[in-house]
Amino acid sequence: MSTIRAFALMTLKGLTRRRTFWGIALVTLIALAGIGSIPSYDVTGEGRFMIDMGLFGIEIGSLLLAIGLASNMFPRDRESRSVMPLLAVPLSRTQYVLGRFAGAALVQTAAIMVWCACLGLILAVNGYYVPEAMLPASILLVAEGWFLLAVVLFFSFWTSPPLNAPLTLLLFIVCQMTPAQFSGLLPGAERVMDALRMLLPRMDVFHIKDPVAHRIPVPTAYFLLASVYGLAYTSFMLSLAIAVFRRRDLK
Amino acid sequence: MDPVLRVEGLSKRYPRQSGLGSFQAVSDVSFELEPGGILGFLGPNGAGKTTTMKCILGLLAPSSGRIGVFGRPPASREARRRMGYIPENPDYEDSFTPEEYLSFFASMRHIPWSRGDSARMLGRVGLENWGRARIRRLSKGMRQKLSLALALQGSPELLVMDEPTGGFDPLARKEFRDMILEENARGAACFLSSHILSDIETICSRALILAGGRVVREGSMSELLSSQNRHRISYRKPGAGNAEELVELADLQAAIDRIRSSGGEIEAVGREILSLEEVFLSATSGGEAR
Amino acid sequence: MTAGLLALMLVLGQSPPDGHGHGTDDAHGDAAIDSAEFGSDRHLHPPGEENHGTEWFFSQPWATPERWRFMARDSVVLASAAAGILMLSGLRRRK
Repeated sequence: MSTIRAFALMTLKGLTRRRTFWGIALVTLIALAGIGSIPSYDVTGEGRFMIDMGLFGIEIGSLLLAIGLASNMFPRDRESRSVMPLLAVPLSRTQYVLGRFAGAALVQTAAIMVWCACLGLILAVNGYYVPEAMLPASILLVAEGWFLLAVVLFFSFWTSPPLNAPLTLLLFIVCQMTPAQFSGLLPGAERVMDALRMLLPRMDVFHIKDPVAHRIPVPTAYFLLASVYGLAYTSFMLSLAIAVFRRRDLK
Repeated sequence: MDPVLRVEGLSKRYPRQSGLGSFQAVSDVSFELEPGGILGFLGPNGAGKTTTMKCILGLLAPSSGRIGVFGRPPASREARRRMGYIPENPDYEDSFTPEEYLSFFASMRHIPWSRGDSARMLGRVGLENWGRARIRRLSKGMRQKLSLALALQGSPELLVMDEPTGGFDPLARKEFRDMILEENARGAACFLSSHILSDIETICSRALILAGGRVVREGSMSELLSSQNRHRISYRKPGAGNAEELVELADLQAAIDRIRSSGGEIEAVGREILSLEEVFLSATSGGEAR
Repeated sequence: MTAGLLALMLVLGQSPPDGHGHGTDDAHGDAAIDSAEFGSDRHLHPPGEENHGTEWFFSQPWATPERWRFMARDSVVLASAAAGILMLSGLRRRK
């Protein structure tokens, strides 16, 4: 465990020194500030537009971070051959995958938390009430972000970074759809589409922007169960990534 | 005593890039490295040296054959813990510093490590003033020295080195050789692949020559360098000073008789000592199997 | 950037930027409160006051018992599959 921790810290340090990370983090912050400056036509005066749009902006930011951070971690290590001394001596392949994931997940989590805090600040500055459900909402965003990170990491072991990004984006869009919306994509083949949808993750479970924006209490059990679901999917994708990487020859 | 490294019937096939068929990179390679030994690994480009090394390190899975590092599979934690590796043309995450790399590798290896240990190790490999410099500022030779520092961390019992002196100047090469001999004197076994034959000749106790994926010559350095068949006769010609003649073993007696009958005085007869380059060229050009 | 976010929102079926949108997901479950929220009967809530009870939450299609069931079932299945994959790939490598 301490080996994975040390490698995760090394990954974290390396990622925070990349321009990609700071670029995505800053662009998302600017977008959040932009949302804060749009006049709200909200008759209720509760900043619902800001919360809804802000949380959505953070979700997109975490998707971009997952792609930006994880899609070229292994390809870069392989091309620069820096993976050789790592795997030859101190690390096993499982530790490599878990360490890389944990490092990137820490960076992504920190970014999401900072973005959520900024959204809270923007709401407060604009004189709106910061809903209590912002924290659980941001925890679900983290769970969704980790899942996306695991997906990108899995793709990175068998695709190139330029192919990884559209694949992840496609999966992200498709997984937002409810079964009804998904089967509606191909009228006449509902059964096939239903079966296909069952195999894909249900990322719509992480969407609690509406109740948060409308200040509707969401049961704690729902947050917990949705987080567990996200973690279970993340561990499944990571196990696939480890299985692929274990079988891979490093020429 | 059990060997530090045992390779038995190692073969490795790669699929062709076209996707049709495969080609044999290494075929039925077997050898052992005893504790405290230094084994040189020679071969022309494409002979299968790097493939063999990567199989030993657990980076490639052999198609057939067995590899034991300290009696364990190469990818096992125990084998990796006791091994140090210097890769060919090493590269590292260039935003890090050598000190950071040493510190992270020490944590991953569970070795207690301080900044003073880093300074000592970097001083030992000649990077004392570069500990806090970003790796992107280091030259190829300096990165090689960092590899050496990382490989020596924790005093490994086996050092696996793939073309370790490629980026070194002559002085750095000499220092490297001295360091390897120091490590060997400490008890570390060394497995060294290099195209620089003088390095192998100077520091290795045994050598193995690979060509076309097969072992074509193997033995102790003295066995390899002394020709089994060719002999050198040194003699004094009457009224014409000293002379030498190289003859095959089958013709040795006839040559001695001829020199004596012409009035020559035999001074010495001995096996011809070849250079490692001559041995390498004769072994790899003829494709002669051991 | 904001225009980009708006376009993405439309693609992904997010709620429009008015105060009471519930997303396309929620369209079916809102019949009971629609009249209260939209049209001439629109009302104002003081900031900080909860708008609805948990009844509203459970009337949403994404909070139906079916969703709770599949989240629990899939979590168990996925976690077991992950453990199985790790074990099998480990055994295969050791061989």
